[in-house]
Amino acid sequence: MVNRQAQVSSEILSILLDSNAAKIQALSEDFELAPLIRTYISDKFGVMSLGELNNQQMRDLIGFIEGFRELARKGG
Amino acid sequence: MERVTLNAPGEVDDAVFRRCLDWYASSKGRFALNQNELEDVLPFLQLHAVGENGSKYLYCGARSVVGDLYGADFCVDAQGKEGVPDSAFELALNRDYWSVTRTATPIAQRVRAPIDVYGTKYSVEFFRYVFPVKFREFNAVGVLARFSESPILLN
Repeated sequence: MVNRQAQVSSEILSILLDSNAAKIQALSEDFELAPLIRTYISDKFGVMSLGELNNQQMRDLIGFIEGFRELARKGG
Repeated sequence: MERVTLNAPGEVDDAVFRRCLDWYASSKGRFALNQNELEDVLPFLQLHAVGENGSKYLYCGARSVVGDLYGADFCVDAQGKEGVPDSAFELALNRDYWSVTRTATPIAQRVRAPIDVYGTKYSVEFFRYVFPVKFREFNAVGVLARFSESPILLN
């Protein structure tokens, strides 16, 4: 039973990670932000690829990209 | 504050400064171009969204002079802020962002100025290159600053 719960939790986490990675990919393409995203996660989390981020870090990154888009929409 | 235009920015004796000039020369500021060269200099850059009423950080590199002065933590959380905590220093320098955006022409300067870093005053001297950056149709400004001298503590 415990193993089954652990397996379900792991699967949910995997789906969340995949979902957030896909969202990051879609968001970044609007402004060609891939270089900035790589540099930001290196600056902030010390990692070199999206695959190394946990779910909370991915949410932080999505917030960064959405903040960028909002500033781009409004101007300075 | 003292600002002098650099007539030959390519002669600045700083490898990061010259790599940034090279990236701009080859890309004309288009963020999608020459990304390997861009990523070499990005950790040292500041990127700003510029409007008629001021500017806000889009990104502040942890290895920028802002990071050196105010700490990497200030930089990684800088998005949306109007500038460094010394508002007089910031205001004097970010006036140029609007003209760089409007004219799409970079400027290169040597700057010497006092700056307040969380209550401690320093004299700083640095080269800076302010250049237009394009993210598809969105125009922003990139700033590279590099110390030409170590900051001097003022009493």
